[in-house]
Amino acid sequence: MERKRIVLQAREDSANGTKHADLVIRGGVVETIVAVSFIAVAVWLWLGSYAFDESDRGLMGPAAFPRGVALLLGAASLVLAFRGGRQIVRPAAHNAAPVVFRRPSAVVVAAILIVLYPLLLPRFGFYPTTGVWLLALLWCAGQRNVVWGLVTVLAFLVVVKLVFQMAMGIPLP
Amino acid sequence: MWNGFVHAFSEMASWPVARAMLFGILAGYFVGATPGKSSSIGIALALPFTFSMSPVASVVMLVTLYMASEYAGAIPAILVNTPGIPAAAITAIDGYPMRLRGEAGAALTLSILSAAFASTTSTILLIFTATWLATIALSFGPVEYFAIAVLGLSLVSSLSGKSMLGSMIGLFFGLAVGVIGTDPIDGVNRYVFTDSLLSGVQFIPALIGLFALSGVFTMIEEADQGVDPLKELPSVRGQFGLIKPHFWTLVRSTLVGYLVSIIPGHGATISAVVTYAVQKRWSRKPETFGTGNPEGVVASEAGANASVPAALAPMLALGIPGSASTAVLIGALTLHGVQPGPLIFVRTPEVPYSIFLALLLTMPLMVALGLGGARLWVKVTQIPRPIMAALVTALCLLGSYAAQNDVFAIWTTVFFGIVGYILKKIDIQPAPIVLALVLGYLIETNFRRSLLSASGDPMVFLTSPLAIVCFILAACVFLWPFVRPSRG
Repeated sequence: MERKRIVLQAREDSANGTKHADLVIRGGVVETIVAVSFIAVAVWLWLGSYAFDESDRGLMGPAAFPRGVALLLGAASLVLAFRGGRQIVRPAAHNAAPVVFRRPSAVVVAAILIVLYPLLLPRFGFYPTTGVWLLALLWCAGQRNVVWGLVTVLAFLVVVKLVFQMAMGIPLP
Repeated sequence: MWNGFVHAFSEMASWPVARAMLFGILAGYFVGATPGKSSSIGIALALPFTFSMSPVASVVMLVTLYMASEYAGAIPAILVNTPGIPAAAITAIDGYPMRLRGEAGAALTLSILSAAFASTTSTILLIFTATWLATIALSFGPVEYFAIAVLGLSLVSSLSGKSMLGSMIGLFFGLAVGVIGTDPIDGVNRYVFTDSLLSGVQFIPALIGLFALSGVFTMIEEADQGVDPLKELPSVRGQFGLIKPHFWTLVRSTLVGYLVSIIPGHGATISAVVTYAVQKRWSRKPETFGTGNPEGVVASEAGANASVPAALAPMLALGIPGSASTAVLIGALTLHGVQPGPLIFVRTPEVPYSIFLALLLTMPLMVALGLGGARLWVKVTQIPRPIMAALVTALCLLGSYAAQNDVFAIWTTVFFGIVGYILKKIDIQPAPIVLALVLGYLIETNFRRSLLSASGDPMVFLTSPLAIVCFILAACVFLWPFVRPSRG
């Protein structure tokens, strides 16, 4: 258990007594993943700058600033990766606090719903998409009272219609 | 200056501006009283409502929201020990023990009157500071602007969040995002993989994602916790005479708070911490701080609220954000075609002077709402978290769509929301990213313009005394966190 990098830890909610599993990731793992992602961004910035490089312009050219930023981002991310790596190898020596994701399943479902919204919006239009989507999001967030959920959705759509569309004249798909 | 005020007054004496001001105050109270919402989140969420407004109405609404939210955080902090905004946690140290002693009315009166005094005094200081700074800044060239922007960036990097490295990475990531789009000098496309990125990453959707949507995931994590039920709430009545014995505490804290917050990067929280510590040192009874000493409430509230006008000074005069909230305000002004900086006083004087007037005129209304509606604002803490999380998400996505009438804006918000949430887990806060998005453009354009004016000679950056001072200060600020531990 001690050596595992990712664990699911059961937790009893104090408010209603229900049980949840928290995702506990050992200290250093998330830092390393983020650092590697940023190093990739820095490499992309550096290599991409050759597409619009005018070598005779030096620091005055359009590629100089992105390259400078790429170097700084890459260097800082390397330090973060090194720190994360040390925490993974010797967690006790480097006071590595684990990263805890509470209610991971609810967060992942919410993220999926949020990603789905811009996909569904142009296809089904604002009101039907938002109505169904908001109800699903309320459920995912923990709103189990369907009546309150419907009232919330209805109130939101009425406010959007009155404020955004009628008062402000913003066209919605 | 007087012409500016006359111009602004004629703009403000209209129903749309008055309505915007009222909405700003009410929304600010709502945001401030809701735990976990900062003023920058409130401004980001309110931005979509300003799209159809005039620049003056828009900025008046957002500035009053900023100010009201900074105060309103104190109400739940005092009454239920739940700070609405981070700075109010300092107020709760003495405010909540006062409420437990049955002095809730006194604590709330002291806090709102301190906030009112500090905001009004700081606004007067802002009027002189901003106009004076802007007059000087009119003579600045690209070298000076580059140096000031570098100084601003160095301050932000060292002051946001607990991790210096995390703040630096956030900063560099923000600068990296800022280079996407059409190059500001040569007009070539950089890292444009879709036409929607031709004018760069859209600022409003990005900041809605970083500030508001990233917070939604945290709200969903905590949605099962329920809210602490309200126990009996005392009735609150204004007792204006209570403030008299604390007059000098008020003056001292306001001045200290203003001076601390005028430096870019210092927000309300740092200001409240500093003024509280200063007052504790000056107090005849420092041992009573933390047990319900009214001086603590006065000092922290005056410090936090003096920071609002102070943060507007570098924003208006130099175009450099003094805090995360003013970075959002810069985005709002740019959206309406107004460019903050010294020329704002020449080209669109009605905007800065409307801000000054709005800060002064809203004060009586804020005091009335704060004292009269304290019990109502505390009830905001009782809104179920799932409902709040879902509504904020919907508002984020709707707001980013309305900014451009483009679904790509929603994708931008979603991307930055998820990135912001993950980064927060390792203490990389969104504020440095947003500030770098604002300052990156200033830095690059002025850096390259300086070199172009000197035919590429980098020594041009050492020709201006002001620039040299800024570079030395930036180096000191950058190195200070590395030196400090070895001294301690």
